[in-house]
Amino acid sequence: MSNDLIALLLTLKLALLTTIILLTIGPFIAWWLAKSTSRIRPFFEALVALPLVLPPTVLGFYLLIAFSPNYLPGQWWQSISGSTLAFSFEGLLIGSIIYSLPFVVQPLQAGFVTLGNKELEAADTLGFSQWSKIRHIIVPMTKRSFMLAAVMGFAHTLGEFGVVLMIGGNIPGETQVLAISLFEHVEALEYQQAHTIAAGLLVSSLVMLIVIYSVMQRQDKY
Amino acid sequence: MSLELTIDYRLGRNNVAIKCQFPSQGISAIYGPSGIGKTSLLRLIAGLDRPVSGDIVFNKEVWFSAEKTISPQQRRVGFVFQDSRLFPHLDVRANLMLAYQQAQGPTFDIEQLCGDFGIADLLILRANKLSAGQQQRVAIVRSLLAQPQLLLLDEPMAALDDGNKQLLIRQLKIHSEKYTLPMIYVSHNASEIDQLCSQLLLLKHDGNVEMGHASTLLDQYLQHQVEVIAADDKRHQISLALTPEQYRQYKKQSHLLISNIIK
Repeated sequence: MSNDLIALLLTLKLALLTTIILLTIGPFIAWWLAKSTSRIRPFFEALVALPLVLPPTVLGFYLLIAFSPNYLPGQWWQSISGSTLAFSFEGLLIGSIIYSLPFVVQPLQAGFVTLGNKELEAADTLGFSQWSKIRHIIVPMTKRSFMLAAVMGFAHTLGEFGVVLMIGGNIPGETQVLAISLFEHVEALEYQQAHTIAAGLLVSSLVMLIVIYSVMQRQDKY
Repeated sequence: MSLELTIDYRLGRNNVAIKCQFPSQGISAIYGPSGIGKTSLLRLIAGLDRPVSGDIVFNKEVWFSAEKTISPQQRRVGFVFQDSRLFPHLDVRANLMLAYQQAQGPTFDIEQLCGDFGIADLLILRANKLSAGQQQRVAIVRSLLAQPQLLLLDEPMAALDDGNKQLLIRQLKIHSEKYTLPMIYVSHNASEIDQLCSQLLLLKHDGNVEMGHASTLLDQYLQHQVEVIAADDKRHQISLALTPEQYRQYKKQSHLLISNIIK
């Protein structure tokens, strides 16, 4: 297998795992942000949104430090897994989760705010359990937000570069993702290969966005 | 056997104290001018909001006290909201079935209930495709299917035409008796209350409450009501229809300038 193909598979694996994990934890964070009236909410809201404005290299730099065996998170990881987090796929996954967090949490939060309380109160008076409310009301009524969150999280992770460069480096099959591969080719003046990757990322991202937006538009009309 | 409330609760910026008792059978009404807190009171009974302090006790079961708060689910209080609140993403049948699944030992015949309330033809329609009146009838059937031990209705007929109102009034009466289901009915329509309710809790402007026989209390109260004929914002003037007795009373008590009498 060529390096680029390996990078493609690794990128897809990373994006898929990141999206799955974010869709598991994201709804809880988004729910709290949507419903809480706590005074500390703006702090956590800012924290979640931080990756949107922060240069990825800043995030990557601090993650690199946290991952090093000299500090607690890195130490802890080394003691249970026997390897370091930095320059590993697991480290990359953690970085991606933080990096793509706002892209998943924000659509969900917006969905939960729009959902409001009315149907949920009706469900309360009908005797619905928490689980029934989630299954029959919250998730179906915010389905669009979940789809948008999944696509945004996935597509954004595909294009990850700065964070990966800092914490993952460039190890084929372990941390070399497509965007890094592209950078490599350009540096080596291999424009033909660079074109293939760049165009591939461009087209696939565009297609994903077109698909999700047309699905959302179609649902508007029911 | 009754629902007893002795509570302080917040209404906007004010604290309101209320002490009252509803019989645990038949249909009782809550009546009063808008903004007086009728809906708030229902929400407290249902457990959707909490009072500041006090006790809510239903048939010796403590729903709220300083020590504990029972969730709406455990209270099994049905609530028909002013804005029906059907689940918009589901069809009528699914709305009803979800409620039916919550019932403890279902006894209702869904088909019959849908026939009684005239919604049998609507079952396959999406909830958000219904008219306001249809939605409200589905909402009532839905809350009945969950088998509440008390049903609260918050102005359920505001969106209904006269024919539908009569059907609903008849059916509510029948079902309250048939299933010995107590209901509390909020409205500011005196004739609905007169037809439907035996007991009445009257919430007054001055913060007092009065509980009693519905039609008697309504008659007394309405005699003292004043009808506004016209209001002129620019000239800071309103025209009222007053009985001679009311006119004398206003003249004596009010600081307002009262001019001519409209006969």
